[in-house]
Amino acid sequence: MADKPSNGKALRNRYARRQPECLASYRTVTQEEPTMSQPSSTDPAFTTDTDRSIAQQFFLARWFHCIRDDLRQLVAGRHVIHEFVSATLRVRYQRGFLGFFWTLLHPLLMLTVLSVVFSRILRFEIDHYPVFLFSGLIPWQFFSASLSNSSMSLLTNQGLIRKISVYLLLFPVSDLMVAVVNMVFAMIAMFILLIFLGAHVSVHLILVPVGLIFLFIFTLGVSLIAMTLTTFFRDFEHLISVLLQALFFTTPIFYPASAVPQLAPLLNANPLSWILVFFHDGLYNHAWPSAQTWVITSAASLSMLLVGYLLYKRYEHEYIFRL
Amino acid sequence: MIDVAGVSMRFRSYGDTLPSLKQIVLNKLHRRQYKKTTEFWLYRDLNLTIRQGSRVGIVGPNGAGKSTLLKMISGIYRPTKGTIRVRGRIAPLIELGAGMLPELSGSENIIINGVLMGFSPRQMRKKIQRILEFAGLQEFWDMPIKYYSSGMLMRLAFSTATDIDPEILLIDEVFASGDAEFMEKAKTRMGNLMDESHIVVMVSHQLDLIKQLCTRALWIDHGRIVADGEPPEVIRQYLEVAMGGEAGSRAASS
Repeated sequence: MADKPSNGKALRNRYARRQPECLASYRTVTQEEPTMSQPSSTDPAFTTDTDRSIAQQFFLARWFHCIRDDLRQLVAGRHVIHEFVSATLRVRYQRGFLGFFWTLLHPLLMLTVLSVVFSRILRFEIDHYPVFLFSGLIPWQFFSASLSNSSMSLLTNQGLIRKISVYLLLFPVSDLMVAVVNMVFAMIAMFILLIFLGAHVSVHLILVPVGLIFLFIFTLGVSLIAMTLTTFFRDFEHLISVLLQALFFTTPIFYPASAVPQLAPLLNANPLSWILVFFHDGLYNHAWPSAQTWVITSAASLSMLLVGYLLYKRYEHEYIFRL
Repeated sequence: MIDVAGVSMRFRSYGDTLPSLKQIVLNKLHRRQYKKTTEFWLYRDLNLTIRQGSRVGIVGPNGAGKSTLLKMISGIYRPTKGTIRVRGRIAPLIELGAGMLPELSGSENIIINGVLMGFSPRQMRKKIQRILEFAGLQEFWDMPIKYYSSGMLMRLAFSTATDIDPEILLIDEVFASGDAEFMEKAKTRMGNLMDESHIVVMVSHQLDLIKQLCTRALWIDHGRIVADGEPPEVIRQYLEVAMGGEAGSRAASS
């Protein structure tokens, strides 16, 4: 039996290793030229040299290597992502009588119900209320769906993760991509509805893809944070749905921000309400967002992604022991 | 070549519950641990080199660390300390049917499995017919595998996992069940795979199999290499200790 180190020492070791794993040990692949096209995602040929390499001596160079490695892995894993996304969608829709038509029908029906409910019960003095509601609701649904799925993505795929060497970032990204596909169909459904509702389209529509990019970056960051928290503390599995509910009501989705001035500080502190400005302006207000909005939105989404990425890198090789 | 240099592996056990958030926060605040997490080092400074052309059989009692070693070589676990260098494409046959999704059909699962092993979907589509044929499941390609019998599932998993051209083959008790006819086919295929691959590392409790197939045997216990050498000799020593004296040597000589 291997001798056990005293607890105190173990704890100190733990504190000493705060750096992300990839920074502490620069990975070198020593594999020979593969005879078959094989992505490095499943490439188990690695060394975990603790020797000091050049890359280790420069902070920026280390991060550059880190990020480049991860991007490569994601590109190499695109087939895996594609197969996962199509499998998930197939499982969800294939066996139904109407099949993939549901991807369009479901958001269409739901938006109809919601617009009836909200425009009858909660009356806000604004024109074309359904247009306003949809332009905020669809990004929100993307956010909440991908967050609740990707926070669990390591746990739901643990059977696989524990048996095959697979690049872990592929799982949350796949979950996000499923939500992207659903959102695209929801957008199409929304445009169909909007035509009936007599909304008009302007050049400001190009704000929607911009908003989508911000939303994607932000959601990816939050998802990585949620995934780490849920994997390490199962309590978050229950907390996340409650937190999402709370966030839903403190984001100007079914009410315009101007209607509740008493909530203004809360709404301003919520990055999502800044991201939604792009959707509201592009689809409903037909205006350009202020410089302040641009700055805050990009800062918020990029820093969220950074935090998520740092957390992921720090625990990349420890997730597996907590599944 | 597989080169394991100075590898240590630490496992932490948290009992039956993971640490709660409250515990972690308190631990951080007090800089000490409230509920002791027990940790142990399964491997300490393990050194092992496996050269091209060797077929290594690993024996040892349950919980000795055999599967952990395979998982470290295949890259599923990263060692706490040390270096593992692997040269060559690895085919881990560690647990069959790992990447199977019950809702999807047999052919869809073949593609997903292959993609996870690093093949492109196009390469896998070419293989589907051959894999289904080997598994004898041509009529069931369209059926979700949750309706498969366990034998069918095993056949599908085995056929998919072994339809490869590996340089390094890691096998963890894969010579498992199936009907007699399939077992014959499976054995032939495993034999071919082992002939073709440069390195084979297999874990098995079927000691005869190791004696038959391997050129080198490792006896691992509690993360240490107890014996390393010719399979008959290592297995004899292992059986002697495992069964205790006389019984062991009788079993070994038979």
